[in-house]
Amino acid sequence: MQMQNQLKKSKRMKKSQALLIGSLLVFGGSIVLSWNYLLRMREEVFSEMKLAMTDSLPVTQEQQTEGGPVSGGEPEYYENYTIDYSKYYGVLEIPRIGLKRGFYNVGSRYNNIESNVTMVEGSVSPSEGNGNLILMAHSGDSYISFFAYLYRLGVGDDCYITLSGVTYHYQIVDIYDVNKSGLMVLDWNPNNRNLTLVTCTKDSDTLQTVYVAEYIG
Amino acid sequence: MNLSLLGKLGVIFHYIFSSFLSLEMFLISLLLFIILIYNLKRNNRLVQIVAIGIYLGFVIGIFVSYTTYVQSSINSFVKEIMNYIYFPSTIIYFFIIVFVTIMMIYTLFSKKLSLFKKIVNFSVFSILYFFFMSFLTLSAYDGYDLVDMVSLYENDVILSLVQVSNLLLFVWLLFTGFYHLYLYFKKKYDQ
Repeated sequence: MQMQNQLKKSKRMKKSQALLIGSLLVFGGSIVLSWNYLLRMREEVFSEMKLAMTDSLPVTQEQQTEGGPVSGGEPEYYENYTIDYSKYYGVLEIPRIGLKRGFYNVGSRYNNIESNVTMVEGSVSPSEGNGNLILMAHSGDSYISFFAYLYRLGVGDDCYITLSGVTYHYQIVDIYDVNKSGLMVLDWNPNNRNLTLVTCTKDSDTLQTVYVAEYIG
Repeated sequence: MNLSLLGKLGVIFHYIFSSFLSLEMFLISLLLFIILIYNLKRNNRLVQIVAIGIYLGFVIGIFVSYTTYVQSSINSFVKEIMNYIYFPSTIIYFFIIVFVTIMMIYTLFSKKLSLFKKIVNFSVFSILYFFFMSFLTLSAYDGYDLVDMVSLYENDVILSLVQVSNLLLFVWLLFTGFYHLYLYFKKKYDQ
């Protein structure tokens, strides 16, 4: 009788085995259910990396030296060059200072002030209607000082933002300095599309300069 | 911004007593804490269930009230994990190897692990070491900056080494997880 019971036990699946199979099924099922979502995230990650890999930086050999330009010297103008608009979320162009630079969307890991012109969280793209698109970048003399020449801009200068093939024309309406306190109050027109450019004030360690531009067509 | 620790605690203390809502939230948290501590000895099941209900309800409330924020947080979190799996920074890859080394030492001296598990561990760790050493050798030989991930992963061999490495580690972690889960079930239900 004991032998028969033992035989029955060994033929019947043990509880631990059943639980293990159940756990595996639950795990497998979760993966299957979230497969499309995971695939979408994976594609986003891969496309961001591809963008970063095929990003043709708009600098010539003369402009980009190791460690940046010689200390004390001014960085070169960025020359007019052909840019692949499809690689970026948007492109900022300021003809007065020869600036043409792509930028990434807020959620992108390349939307980082240490490598690109950065779109500030909470910005409203001109394609979304009235609001404020806020872009930041370094000034100074390193190779990431994309806003190095913003100090040469004045009220009335033109800026362009291109998003999804549509170009928005802005004009600078105000320029002011603020303290670097971690908090910045921006002055902009809520009844129009605005573009705000922020960078460190030239020759100052404590100030930031804000360039406010309004959409004109 | 440059507050000392005492300064920060002072700011939080002022915040708690700055409005009725913040005071209310503080008192509710304190009350829950006292009830849980008091219930430790009494071990009242109802209190445990109600406490779980309150905490879960709080989390569900956040999910319902801030659905968009929660969704974007989850998306960012999943994307970061995917980035770590497919395009880990070299710092992360380095810490993965440190972790593997610790596990290797544990496996060497463990008396609890079965022979089968030890063989699996040694096999996986040996392959991971080989991949990592190849990664370092290739990077040094081709003059890649280990900090510049983008140019590093333009090399197909380096990218394959890193991604297969991470895939192997992920499969090993899954296997180890389910293995220990099985041992737990076995101990609890089969004896």
